[in-house]
Amino acid sequence: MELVQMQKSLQDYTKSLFLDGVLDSQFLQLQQLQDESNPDFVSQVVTLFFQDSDRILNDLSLSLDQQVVDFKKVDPHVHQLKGSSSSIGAQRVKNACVVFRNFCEQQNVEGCHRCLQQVKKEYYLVKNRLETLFKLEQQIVASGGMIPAMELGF
Amino acid sequence: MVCEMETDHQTEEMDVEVLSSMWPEDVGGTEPDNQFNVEKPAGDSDTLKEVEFAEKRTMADLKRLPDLLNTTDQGSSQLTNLVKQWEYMQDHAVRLLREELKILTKQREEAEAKELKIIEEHNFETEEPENVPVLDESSDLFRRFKEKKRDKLVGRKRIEIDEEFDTVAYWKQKALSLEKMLEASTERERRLIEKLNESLKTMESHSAPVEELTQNLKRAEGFLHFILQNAPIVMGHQDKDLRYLFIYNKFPTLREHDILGKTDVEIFHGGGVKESEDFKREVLEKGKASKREITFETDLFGSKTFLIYVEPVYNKAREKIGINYMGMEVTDQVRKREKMAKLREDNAVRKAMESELTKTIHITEETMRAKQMLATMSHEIRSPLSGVVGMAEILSTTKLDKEQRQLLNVMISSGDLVLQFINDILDLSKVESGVMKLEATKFRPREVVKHVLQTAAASLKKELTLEGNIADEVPILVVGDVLRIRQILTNLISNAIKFTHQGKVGIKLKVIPEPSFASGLELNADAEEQNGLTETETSVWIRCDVYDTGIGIPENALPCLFKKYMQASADHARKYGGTGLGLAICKQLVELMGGQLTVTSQVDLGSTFTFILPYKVATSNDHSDDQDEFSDMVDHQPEPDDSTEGYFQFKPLLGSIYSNGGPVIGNNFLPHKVMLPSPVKLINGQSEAVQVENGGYMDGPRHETRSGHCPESPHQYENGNGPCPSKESESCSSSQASSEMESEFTVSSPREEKKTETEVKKTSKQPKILLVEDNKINIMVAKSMMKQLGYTFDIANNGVEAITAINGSSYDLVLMDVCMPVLDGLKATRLIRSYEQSGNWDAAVEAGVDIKTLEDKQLCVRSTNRLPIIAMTANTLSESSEECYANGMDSFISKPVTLQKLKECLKQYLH
Repeated sequence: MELVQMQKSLQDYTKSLFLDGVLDSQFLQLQQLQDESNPDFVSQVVTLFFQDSDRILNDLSLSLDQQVVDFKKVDPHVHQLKGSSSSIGAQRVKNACVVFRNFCEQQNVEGCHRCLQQVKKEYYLVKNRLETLFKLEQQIVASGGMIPAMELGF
Repeated sequence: MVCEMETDHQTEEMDVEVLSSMWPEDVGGTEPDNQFNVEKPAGDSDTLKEVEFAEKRTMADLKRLPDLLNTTDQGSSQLTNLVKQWEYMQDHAVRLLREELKILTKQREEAEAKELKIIEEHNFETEEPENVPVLDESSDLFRRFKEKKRDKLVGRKRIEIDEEFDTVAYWKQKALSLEKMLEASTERERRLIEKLNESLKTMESHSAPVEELTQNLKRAEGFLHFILQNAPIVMGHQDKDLRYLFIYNKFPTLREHDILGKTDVEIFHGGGVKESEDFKREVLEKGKASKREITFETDLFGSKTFLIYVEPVYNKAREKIGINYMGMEVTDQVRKREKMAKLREDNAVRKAMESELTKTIHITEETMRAKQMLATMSHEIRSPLSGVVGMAEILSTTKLDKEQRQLLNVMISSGDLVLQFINDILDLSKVESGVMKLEATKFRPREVVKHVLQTAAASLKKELTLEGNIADEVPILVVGDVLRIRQILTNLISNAIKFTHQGKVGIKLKVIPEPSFASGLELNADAEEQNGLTETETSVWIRCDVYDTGIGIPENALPCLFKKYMQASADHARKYGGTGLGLAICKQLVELMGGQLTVTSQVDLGSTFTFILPYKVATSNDHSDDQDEFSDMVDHQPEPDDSTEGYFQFKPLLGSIYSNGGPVIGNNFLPHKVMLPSPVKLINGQSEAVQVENGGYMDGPRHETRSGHCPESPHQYENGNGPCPSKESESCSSSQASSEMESEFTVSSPREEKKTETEVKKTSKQPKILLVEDNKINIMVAKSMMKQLGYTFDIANNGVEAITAINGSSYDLVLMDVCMPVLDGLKATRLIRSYEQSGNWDAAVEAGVDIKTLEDKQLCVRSTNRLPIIAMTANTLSESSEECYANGMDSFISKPVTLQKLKECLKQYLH
């Protein structure tokens, strides 16, 4: 693939992530923080986010499958996930977490289960998209190109 | 007979007669009548047998009673009635007897006629012995009987003797037969006499009227007793002085002589006695029977309620001689009734309260929903917006040409405004709950107007002329809450623009005398104080008109115009959108500042919103040192020339007659200053106006590119040189870093190093920051941001670690997450504050925090300075700023943390 074309498709792809609400402006913040001194910052943070979230989601699944659900255990996990997703700009995961916490507050097991599914769905979506994004970036870098800066204007 | 009587008596006074006619004939003994058995339970016949008519229960003045009965209508009518009844019965008997007599007489006449015949035929028969009973010589009746019977016999005899006429045997025989007949006749006569005697006897037995009357009376009395024996009834008769002459009481508590001849008042004492007496007197006076319920409260029988019936009594001369009264105890019923009434009342009250409560709940819910909506909105808008503004700021640090800078400044300015609006919308609830605090800052009204118009023009998508007109007498510099005033103006202007499709929208400012509503207004003391107005300072009232040539507002929509979430009509809401909050906020803000917001409007011609506000006049001497105080106003393009400018106009570029026909770059309507002959002034040889030149547009204010000048405002950067460093902050270099932990975070970007190199010499110490955060990702992001801002920091993962860190080292700033495991940010902050006050960690130890004993350190830690603690809150609702402040935090950053927010915060607290 042509480098220019790849760069274009990366831009389009990134744009679509914002338009779909998968990511929000916080992700731009991350990209902004990435500079020459820290060229892999975004992927580092996001990787950390994936590791952290995989663990949290696992813990959440276990906690919610208990005979008696201990909401005092569940809620901090959700809070954690909400914080992380909010920090990297994974907007839809964050929004799902907000709903999740409401159900935790209400001690609604049924609602929590549904929310967990929703959170997982959104999480895997953003994970999938971000991985694709990084792949595209890597391809560009491998082809000797520059990662185009995000447009601020959309 | 009873029936007959009734019909007979119907013509007479009913109320009296009915009583007598209704008395059953048989009642009065122990013998129960059928009709009573029907009404009474089966077992009652026994009861009736036990009935004793205890005469003693009736307290009667026996001497007076007959007297009374004789003198009163009621009494005499009863007697009359009894007499009539008896008379009638007698009449009836007489009639019967007469009829019988008539029959007998007739028979006798017949018999006599026959006898005469026989005698005519047989003269000899005259010597026939006369066997007339001597029983009743005088009784004509008896003789007639006898004669009649003889006639019959004779008639027959005559037929028998026809054959053997004139023989001895014949006569003998005849004599014999006659004898027999005579005997038979005598016998019959005797029987008849017996019968007659019997009849007479019965007649005699009926003939005594007194006896009959007595019986009737007894019956009546018996009936009364039967009815009344268990009834809780008191009956009495009182004379016209209301002295008791007669009383019947089933449960007497007083003896006869205690009552008779006395009045109520003489007998009882206590509540109700007087009332009862008054009532009786009233009845007596009015002469009309009446009922009333009276509650007695006497020593004698406690608290009892009686239903009292009182009727006046007249004598035959129709003079009032007293009253009859009947009382029935209805205490229980009254109590029940009152209970019921009370229950009903309670019910009604409860229902009213319920509906009130429902209303309140409804309102509360609505409020909650609105607040939730606002919080969500602000949260959802704030983060992306701060992203936009942050990026724009970062963009402004890059190399830009003048055009780009100009655009960027407008962008940042607008973005900042929106951020402010969001905060202000949240402030609305603060205004309502009375916690809104106004700030007194110096500002230039002309600049405010200009900026508001400029900002509005920047986003204008219609061909509208925006103009500002400020009267000369309006002071250059006034003191007020510029943020709020600007918010009001922006709101009104954007509203005006929204509803105006052609023509112009403008702001007019002029000084007015103190309005009547404010004169002597004590209420506004608070607001004025907040506004920085005090008695000694000169204050000025400025009237601000925001006018448009828009669609106008129908008169009927005006009242609800300033209500929250209300728009002139549903159609408008659909067509123009909007929250309907704007005007409500404006009105509340204006009123909070001690002013007044009004509107005049004409449909299709336009509207004018007018607000008048008091301001303190600031002396221009203050001008030089108030720069940062109202940096909000001057941050983007402080144009000193504006201070005297009285008129601005912003014209749409497209199709505008002022555009000089030149080509237009882009589709934007750009702020465009029309050069007007009079008010525009050129100062220092520069035109501050953004002019149209050859179809392009002019540069921004000149001073921006002046070298060496760097106002302390967050958005002012020197061209291409990155953020202008403030005097003592933002120095960072790894060599200066003193913390043990921060080495990994202290890699500075070359750009920053270059920038700060000169600063390092001035500032000897890198500020020490502690980040308390449990989320690794957040830490990582914050770390990167801090690095870019040129800071390093230590990390604590929870409140306990934070306390340990603070105990072990001195910090200049703490960034504290609110929600953390082990010990949350709020509690940790409280413990830190407690430590600052007491100098020891006792409270923390008490709370279970394991403080390593570092007594010596405790003494040498930071001086008495309060450690700035900034909260990092995730959610504006559950981790509210109020809660942060209440727990001793100094400020807060809402999450997710952005570069912009972090920078502002650090700038504020690190000097």
